[in-house]
Amino acid sequence: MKIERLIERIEGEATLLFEREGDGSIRFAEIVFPHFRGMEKILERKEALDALAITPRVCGICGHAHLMATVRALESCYDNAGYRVQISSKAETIRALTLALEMVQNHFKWFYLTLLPSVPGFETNRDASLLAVHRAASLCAKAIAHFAGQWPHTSYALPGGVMCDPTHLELMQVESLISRLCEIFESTLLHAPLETVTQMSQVGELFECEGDLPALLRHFQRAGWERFGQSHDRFIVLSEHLLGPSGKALKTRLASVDLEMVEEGQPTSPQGYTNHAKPVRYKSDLYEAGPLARAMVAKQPLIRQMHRKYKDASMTRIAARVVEIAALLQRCRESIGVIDLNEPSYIEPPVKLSDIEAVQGRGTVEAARGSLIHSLRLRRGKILRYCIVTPTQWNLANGTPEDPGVAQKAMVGLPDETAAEVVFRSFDVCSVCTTQ
Amino acid sequence: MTDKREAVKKLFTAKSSRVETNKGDVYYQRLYAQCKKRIEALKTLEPFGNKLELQDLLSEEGVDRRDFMKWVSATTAMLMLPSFFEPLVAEAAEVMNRVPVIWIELQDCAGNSEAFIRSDGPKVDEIILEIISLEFQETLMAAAGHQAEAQLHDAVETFKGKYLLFVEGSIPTAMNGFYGTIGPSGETFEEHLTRLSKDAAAIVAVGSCATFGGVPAAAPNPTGAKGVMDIVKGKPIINIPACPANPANMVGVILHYVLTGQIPELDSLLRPKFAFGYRIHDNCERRAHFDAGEFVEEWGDEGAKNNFCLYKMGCKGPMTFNNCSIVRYNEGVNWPIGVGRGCIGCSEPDFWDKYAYERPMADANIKAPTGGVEKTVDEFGLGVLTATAVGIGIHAAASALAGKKSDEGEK
Ligand code: SF4
Ligand code: SF4
Repeated sequence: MKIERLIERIEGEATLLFEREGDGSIRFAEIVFPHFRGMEKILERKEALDALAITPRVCGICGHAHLMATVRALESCYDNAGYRVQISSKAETIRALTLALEMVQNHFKWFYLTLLPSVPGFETNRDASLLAVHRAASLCAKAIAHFAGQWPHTSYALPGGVMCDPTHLELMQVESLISRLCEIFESTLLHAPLETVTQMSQVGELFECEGDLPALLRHFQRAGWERFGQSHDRFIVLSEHLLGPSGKALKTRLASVDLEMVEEGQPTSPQGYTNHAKPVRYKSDLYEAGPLARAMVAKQPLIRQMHRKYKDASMTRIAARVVEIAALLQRCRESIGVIDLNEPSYIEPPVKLSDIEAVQGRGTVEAARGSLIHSLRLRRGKILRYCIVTPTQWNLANGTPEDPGVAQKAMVGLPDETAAEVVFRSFDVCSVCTTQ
Repeated sequence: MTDKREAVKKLFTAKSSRVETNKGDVYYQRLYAQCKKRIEALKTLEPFGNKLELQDLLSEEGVDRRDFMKWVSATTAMLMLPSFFEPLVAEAAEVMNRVPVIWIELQDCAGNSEAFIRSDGPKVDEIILEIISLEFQETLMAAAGHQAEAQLHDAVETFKGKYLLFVEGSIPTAMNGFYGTIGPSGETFEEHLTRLSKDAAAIVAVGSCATFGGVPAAAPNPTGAKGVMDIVKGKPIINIPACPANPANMVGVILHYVLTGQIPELDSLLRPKFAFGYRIHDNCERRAHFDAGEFVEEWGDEGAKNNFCLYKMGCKGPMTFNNCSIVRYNEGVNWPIGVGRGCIGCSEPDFWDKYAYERPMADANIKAPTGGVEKTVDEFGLGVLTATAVGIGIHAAASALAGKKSDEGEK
């Protein structure tokens, strides 16, 4: 029997098609994304620097991550052509800071606007949490805007640095916005000081805390959902990031990654639906990307212990994303202190991209939902080809019943569609990005 | 080179036929009476779905009356209404939940929803969201899937002819709409939009994609993306372009509609004049440097450090009609020019193909938008930097009210 279920509220739309067993449990689920804008095609034949303004518009939710991937891709073009682009540590820090803030606001919104409303029987004060999440998102956006001019859709970084030249006053304002974000975290998601959260190593401690995260985890436990959502138990992180290294983890075994091994395929829909989401694999294997992957590769003690108990279940995935907020905020707070305003914001690269005959480059970045890759080919500063692989592509690639994708496998065997939807949302799906 | 710059400067500072800023006392008195009546009528209505009251929310949020009134006066000025409208604007904000809003996302990046949910005011980003009657919004509402479809259906039935339809994203028309379909029924975006437009009181196209096609319509426009006004005919349409559209302008349009029951006065591209009646360049904080001939010549140079004009770095402010130089983004924190990146002209038609290039307009071979730059408001350029100041500076500013309808009333 086939059941169709439309999933909205995930920044766009996806359709899940369920095949069920006689008892109603999920035998297989197909995921299709019916939208497409053709961003890669639009980028072709444009000036290289135009990409700095186009790619953030791939996604209104993680546009800054796209900007960073573009900048890194262009900087790698310089590298590959034998020129060194210098970047001041001030510019590096500001870039990392704004990127982290974009992730923080995403995680807040995902938890309260995407995930919670789909969990049956979980009672929170919806009005209060709505206000909190909007306040948090707006604080993040304001903090980013101090450096980046606006959010969403900022284009304030370029090869060689950033365009902004913040003053001491602005740093102080951003610092105070970050403190308020910390307070919101500590009064909603997890009632404990950030430091305590990031240093926790026992799942028991987490469960005993107050706040919406522990309450949700306890709710999962009571409902007998703690092992729901287990998948391939393979994780990938394609780029170094604020909280850890790149690498892949097979269960708990770590190894390094080589970008050459990433393969993008064609979108499929065995049942003939319109689908624009391309699958992506690493050496022909499927991997999960995102905060859980980052925590596993960085050996985050609490999440590793949770993984030992519950494997890559949705519960672990959810905890990883929320705990990441604490770690990111902590790093943001530290970053402000190390910015040296006397350093230059921008150091001009040795030549113009239009002076380089032909070159290719690639930029990777850890976005809120996982690894993002931009690859491009340039000729005399014009874009010949542009290729984007987004985080959700990793998690949502469609496979077959014999070889299911990450989210697909996580849904197989669940008792009903409601549970499947919660599991699906635990991946923080984004369709605008996925199909570009 | 100097000659060229002089020519450009002359073009951009020419005397202009300005937005009509004062329609006369008689006009405003009549408008006032009309708005008063409308608000009284709205007050007698039950709020739809959303029962929260603005005042309760404000005090719960620790926003005092003074902060709220500050927002009111800025908003009144933004809508180009004389200051004696302020009490009415305050009342209108309180009855915003009597006007149903349906918001759909088509071929978009969700950037405008993102921008909207943090629109500014007395922390009004949270509060407006709570108070307006958003009857259907995919990203924000609790329902999903078939439940959401049912809710949309109900909203359309219940509010037939009364709801404002906000549309985010462009409409792909290539290959019979193959690039954008909704749900299992396979309804295309175009069909979806046409169906929901039929019973709307007015349609508000939000963001550059919904207005003029935006980035998806940039060459080679692989999906045949179009804006709402190319698809929907025979309905009032209000365009709020920009990428993302400024939330202040979205709230402004709703507020104006609540206040007057009419759509604001629009320019030839259907943009509300209160927001798009002047150019970025007219109120830019770097304008003095433009006039003095002080330009950033390279990213990161001394000029950049001293906030010189970005014209030579490709700023399209002189050709772009929008109020971001006054309203700014993210609760007034900043805007692109504030951090040293030029304006990319995102609120103009075909903005990508015509404007966004990394080169000054003088070298870009582009023509002025409809009417020509030389025909625009220019006189309140220098020194007038805030919304309130505009309110004072041009006192009874151009009415936001659709002149036509009320003129008919006069006869
Ligand atoms: S106008 Fe801009 S923000 Fe809006 S959907 Fe288009 S690209 Fe995204
Ligand atoms: S920065 Fe742009 S908008 Fe501002 S004065 Fe210069 S050209 Fe005009």
